[in-house]
Parts: sequence; C-alpha cells; structure tokens
Amino acid sequence: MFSVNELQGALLKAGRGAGLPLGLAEDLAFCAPDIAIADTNGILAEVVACMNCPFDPATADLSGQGVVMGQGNLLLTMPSALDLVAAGNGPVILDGVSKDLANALIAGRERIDGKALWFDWIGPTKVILHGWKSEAFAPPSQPERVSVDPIHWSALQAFAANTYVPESEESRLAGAGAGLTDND
Amino acid sequence: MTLTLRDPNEVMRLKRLGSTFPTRLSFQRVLLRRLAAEGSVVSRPVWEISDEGFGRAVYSVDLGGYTYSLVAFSNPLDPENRTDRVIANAWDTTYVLFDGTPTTADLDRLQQNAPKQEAGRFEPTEIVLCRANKSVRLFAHVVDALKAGKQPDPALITSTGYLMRTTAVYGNGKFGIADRKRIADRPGMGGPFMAEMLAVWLVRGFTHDLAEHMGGAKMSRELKKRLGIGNSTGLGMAPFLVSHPVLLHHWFETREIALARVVGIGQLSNEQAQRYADLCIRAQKHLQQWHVPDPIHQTRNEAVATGWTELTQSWTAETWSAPNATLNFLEASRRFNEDIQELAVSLLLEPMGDLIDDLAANLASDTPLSLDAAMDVSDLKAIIEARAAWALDTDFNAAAETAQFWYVSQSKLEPRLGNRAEEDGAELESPLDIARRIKDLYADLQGTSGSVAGFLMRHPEHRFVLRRVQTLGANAYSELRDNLISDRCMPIDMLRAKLAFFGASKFDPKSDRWTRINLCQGAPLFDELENADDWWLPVFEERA
Repeated sequence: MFSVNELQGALLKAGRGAGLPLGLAEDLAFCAPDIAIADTNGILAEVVACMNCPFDPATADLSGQGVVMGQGNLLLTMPSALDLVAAGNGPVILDGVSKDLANALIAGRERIDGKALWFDWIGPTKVILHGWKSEAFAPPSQPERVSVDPIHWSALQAFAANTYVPESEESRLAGAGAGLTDND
Repeated sequence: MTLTLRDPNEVMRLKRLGSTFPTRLSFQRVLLRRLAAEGSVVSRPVWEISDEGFGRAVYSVDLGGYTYSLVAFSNPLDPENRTDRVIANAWDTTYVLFDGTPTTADLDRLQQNAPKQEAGRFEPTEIVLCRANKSVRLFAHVVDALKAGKQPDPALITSTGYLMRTTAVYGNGKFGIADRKRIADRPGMGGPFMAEMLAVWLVRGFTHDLAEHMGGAKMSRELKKRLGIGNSTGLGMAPFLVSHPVLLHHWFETREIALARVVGIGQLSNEQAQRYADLCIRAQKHLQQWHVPDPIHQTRNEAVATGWTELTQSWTAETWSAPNATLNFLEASRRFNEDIQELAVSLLLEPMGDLIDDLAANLASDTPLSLDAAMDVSDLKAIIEARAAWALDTDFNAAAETAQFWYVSQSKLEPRLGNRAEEDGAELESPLDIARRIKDLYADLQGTSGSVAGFLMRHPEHRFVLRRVQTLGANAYSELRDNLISDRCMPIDMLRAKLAFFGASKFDPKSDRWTRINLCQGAPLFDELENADDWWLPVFEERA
C-alpha cells in the first residue's frame, strides 16, 4: 500500500523517464488522487501502455463543427482536448480511447481547475467534451492508501530510473557538497 | 491604505535569499505561539531507555483538538557509520510523529521500521519521519559533566548549540507516512511544515532528557535553553523551492506585506521605540556569538557584525521615537549589503506581533498550478516581458550560463549538482533550468497568435514552463529570479532562505551546497510555553 503522494511522485518521475513532456507528466501526476479512487490497477496498466507508445504532439481537425482529435497517445491528446474546450473550441470529440484513463485525466483536470466538465460517453471508446460548467465543483476526497500491483509499480519505477544519473566516486564525494562522516 | 511591497526583482535574487534571517513569521515561531495560545502540555507517557541511553520513549502533546506523539528510538551507532548525508543507513536516534497515542503494538511496529528510515514502511498514522545524530563531543561532555556532579561548560554549549543534528525530516506521504491532506485542515496544522516543526521541537526535548538520563542529573534550565536542535542540510532541500512556486510566493509575499505594514507606521510608542533599541543591541550580541569554523563565512559574519554596529549605533530609543522611524531605518539599511538589509527586515518585524502575526495564516498554500488555456499568447508574452527579464537577459550560449546541471543520483536518489563540462549525466538533468526554459518559450512564441491551447498542442514541450509563467503572472514572488544552472549559482543561498523561513539561525556552511544550522536555540522548554515568543536571535551570558 502506498500514500497518494507516493503514487503522484511515481507518475511524475515515470512520465519524465518515459519521455513524456514534463508539463504533461505533471498533468498525469495531478490525477493520482483520482486514479487512487478508481480502478487503480486497470488505469495504471493503461498508463504504462501509453508510456510505451510514441509521444507525438496531439492533432485536431477543426474544419467542421467542433473539434475532432486525431488518434494519438491519450496522455497528450486528452490534455490538449481539455485545453481546447477551455479555450472555447468545444465540443471536442475523442475516439478510440481508454474510458477509465480518460475519466481519470478529466477528473484530475477538474480537481486542479476547481470546476466540472460537461461530457458524454457515446460508446465504449468515444467521448464528447462539451464545455466547462460554471457552478462550484467539489472534487471527491482522496483515500489515504492506494493499492498498486507490484508489476505496475515496477514498470513506473523502471521508467523513473531513466532520469537517474549513475554515480561516480567523484560525484558521490563532491556532488552533495558534504563529507562522509560527521563525528564531531 | 495601499501597501508598497519590495520589488520581486530585488527580493527574489539568490544573493539576497542567501542573506535571509529568521523572523517572527518563521514557522517554528508560529507553531510555538500556537501551542502557547492553546496552553498545550507535553507529557512523556513512555520512557524505556537503558542506562546506556538506548531504547524508546514517547512524548505526547495536544494541538487543535488532536493528540500528536513523538515516538523516539535510540540505538548504538558505530562512529564510522555516523554521517549526516542521505547516503547513511544508520543513525543514533530515529523518530516518528504519530497521529494520536500509539499502542504498544504501534511502538513495536515502529521499532522495526523507524530505525530503517527510507528503507522502512509506514502507515497513515505516521505524520513525520526523521532522525538525528549526536554531536559526539558535546553530547559526551554533557553526560560526563553531569555524571561528575557538575554542570556542562556554558561556552562549549553555546558554541555548539545542540546535542544532536537532524539529517532529514520527511513529511507528506514519504515512505508510506500520511499525506499532508490528512492534517492540512486541522487547527494548528494548516501552516507550512507545522508537523515537521512540532516533531523537531519535541526531538529537541528528547535530546535534553536523554543526556540528563545518561548523566544521572539535571542540567540547569538556562543551559538547556541554549541547546536547540541542529540540522544538517544539503542539496535535497533546494529543489523544493523550485517545485513549489505558489507556496514560495506565499512565504515571501507574506513577509513583504508584514514589512510594508511595519514601515507604514508613522509613529512608534515609547515602549515600541525602546524595544527596537534593545533588539538592535541583542542582534549585535547574537552576531558576536555566531562563530563558524569556515574562515570565509566567519569573515562574513564579522563583517555583518561590523556593518550592523555602523547602522545601529545612532538608533537609540530617541531615534526610534522620531516620525517614520521604521521606514527610515529600512532606508538607512540600504547603504549596506544584503546581509545587513535582510537583518534589518527581520528586526523591523520582531516587535510588531500585534500588527503582523495574523499574516501567518497566509503562509500556506495547497493550490496546484492550473493552466489558463484560453489565455492569448500575446498576454503570455506580456507576462514574460514584464516579470521575467531576468531570464530573457541571460545568454545561454555562454558556457558560464549553463555551467552546472542538477540531477538525481541513481544510488540513493539524492539531488546533486554537476559540472556540465566535466561530468556525465547532463542529458538527464532535473528541471531546475527555469530561466532557460522561459527564454526558449519566449523564442517559440514569436510570430504566433491565438490561444495558449493551440500553441501547446504544437509545442507540448513548453507546457511545464508555460504553466509557471502564468503562475508568475499572478504570483510575483513565485520564482527565484536567477539562473540556477549558471556557474554563479550557489545552492547554499536557497538552503538559507528556506531554513530561515523555518526559523533556523547560526548558519554554519560547510560548502556552497551544504550547511548546518540551529533550530529552537533559546526556544521555550516543554514547561515554558506560557512565555514562548521572545527568542529571536537569542543571546547568552558567558557563564550560566
């Protein structure tokens, strides 16, 4: 069992280590409380799958009424879709997406922005984001513990390890700026 | 009345941050005032410590309607394993701040985990995890003196200032302990680092009790008050200031509002004027008692003492009684360097609790960084131009401006600072290069139009810094306004600012990225909370 902050830190570091742009890794980490109160391990399986896919910038077709997001990595397309809705470009349609991960990403954004999104699932993998509601929004409270499958935790840690620098004896001695014993 | 705050371009520079002094709004002061206001009483329900000083103890205190307990463990430690670095894996003492009153089963469980620190696992009932090592020479001296029926040497106690040094104090979910969310809305725990400050104050009391227990006699109250709790801090503390921009803004803006209130006073009372004059002298004595082994920093301390004398020698009670004295004092300090100026700020706040203590409620912020996707990119550019010239004016093609890089070491996930030209790993650097990122963002904004949403879809790599720029637009003190990867960046400046906000004094730098400090020196003992708030820059007589 982990604290929510541990999950949040793991998502942020794993995102960075996987190559997700830092600001989007932050968006993912913001969702930790919402991942914790949902189907945690199902969502983390989707997260890990996304982290193994390319992080090409999201695309969108703005030629018709509303916006249709291009197929792509949900860790990029959903934040971009939510941005477009916030900027008044809605409704925005995403198709071929994982419902649980999409819902968690939406919930995380709602939590940060303090307002609720008006959206509808029109199929198992297709969602329409209509716009942001104006009334006050109270996010669900976060749990104190979150149970994470060791397989997913290890996968997140493996991505995170891509950001760590192997140490040399020189860096061990000098990098932190202190001596190694303090018997004074 | 409109308050004019000091310019963030002046306040948020590293060199000035490296001159920060504790104030009455420092977190340890805020906590102890709260405990005093509530009439809190510390009890010691468990004391299972051997004659050799090993075993466990529990201290409990009520705050805001909740009971918190420090669980302390003291274990033997081979001298070769005694290091303040995070790479350590054993300590003289380890601690948990427990939510409530621990059962024997809780104590047994914690006894298996707390001594392991980062390698242990913890429950949501645990709020803070920390450890402390003995200051070997002073601890042994105190115990030996007490065993011999004497009091310890006051000069040695004053010069060292603590029996133990904490080397890490963890909160907010680390290693399975409670998320901050558990306590953030509780009375007395909402302010920044309140749980950590409570733990540290209780640890200080434990170190006194442990030495007295081993020595078989009591220290004088006056000597015990001289003994704060040390802390040894390295780079791990520095990234926090970068990763919490809204919180940083609240800390500094609150202090600056307090200063503006104080310098806005037209006329001090006679009592206030006398108090200011007395505190000028106290600060002078404190500076004279602040000795550090490093010759460069000792020279700096002596220069501060000299400058302070020059500034304050004419500031008698009569001077302080003149109209606009507080404003004039602040202006007078501007003839001196940042050390003197920031000490002047700290002094100006000290006697004015009635005017500024309410501001402590503004020090906390759990507000996350939101993104305004509807903002027009022209407005974003305007924020950068208005508030980030410090970034735009930097030439990142110059080697000196990218000479260093921050990174996390693989072995113990320890933050470190490397030399880009000489060390491997720069491609994995941690995102503390805020100035460079702002400048890169600004360059890519040229020739663009429309909303931030569209820009970010094309440039997801700027999402992190764009959110910070928007935050900077609404929170002027949210960024350290310097290039943190230049060859001029000295992390010690960041450490000092953060530690001073905690309430630390007697900074004792060991390098440009490592310092020891003293917390709670002169602070009330457990049974002195009724007189809890007059220990700013404490001074001590040579003989107790």
